[in-house]
Amino acid sequence: MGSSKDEQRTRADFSQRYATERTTALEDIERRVIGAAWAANGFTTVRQANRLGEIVELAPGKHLLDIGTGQGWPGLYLAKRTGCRATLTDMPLEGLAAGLRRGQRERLDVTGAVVASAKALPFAPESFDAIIHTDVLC
Amino acid sequence: MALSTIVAAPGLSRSEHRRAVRLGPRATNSTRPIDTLVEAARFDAVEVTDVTSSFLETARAWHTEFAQHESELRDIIGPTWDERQKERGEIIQAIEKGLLLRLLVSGTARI
Repeated sequence: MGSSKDEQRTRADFSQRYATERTTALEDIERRVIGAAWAANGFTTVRQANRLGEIVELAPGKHLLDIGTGQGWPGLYLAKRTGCRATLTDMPLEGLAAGLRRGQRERLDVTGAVVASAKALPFAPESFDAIIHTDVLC
Repeated sequence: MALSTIVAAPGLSRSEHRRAVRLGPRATNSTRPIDTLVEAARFDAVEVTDVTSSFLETARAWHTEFAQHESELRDIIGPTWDERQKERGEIIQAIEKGLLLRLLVSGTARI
């Protein structure tokens, strides 16, 4: 399914952002702003990520889908915190690739990363125990 | 399911709504309440929590941190620096003026 012009612009914009080198300075800023360094660039703090995980009752054995994950925030963080399995999805490939690398470094249970629009997700019904998305529907 | 979303505040005039859409993140343009949308998507037990105060705090923090570290980061961020810092400032203005809200929403899939 083709993406809208707005989706294309958003994807191009975020692809450029995700290509930006992750420096110690950027990571330090992220820790001060949201409480951790997981390549976040939005408004979800660690406290809010924890709350999302509590709401959907993440635990070992549960499978989480993080829609619009960017470079893996907060899905990877929640996989580390709760022991759940995570599948990441978003449109910019660069972000997902970075997320997969981070998942490997952290030895997380990451099923995979799927390039897809949130409007047309390629998953069968009931594929996941929990779904989260942060500032995607806005 | 649990999500966060940024929305134009309810009850805005048409011009205020247009301004909220312009100043907010891309796709801040729905006029339907989020709980209605989530219920229409076949979720029950929908709960909505307003986290706008945290939104403003975080938005200000990003803007301040990037401003304070401009000399280190401008070259790393590249030619979009000015545009992105301007966007950070605009979102702060929109929140402060009551044009944008941020909500945490949860729901249970209807079986």
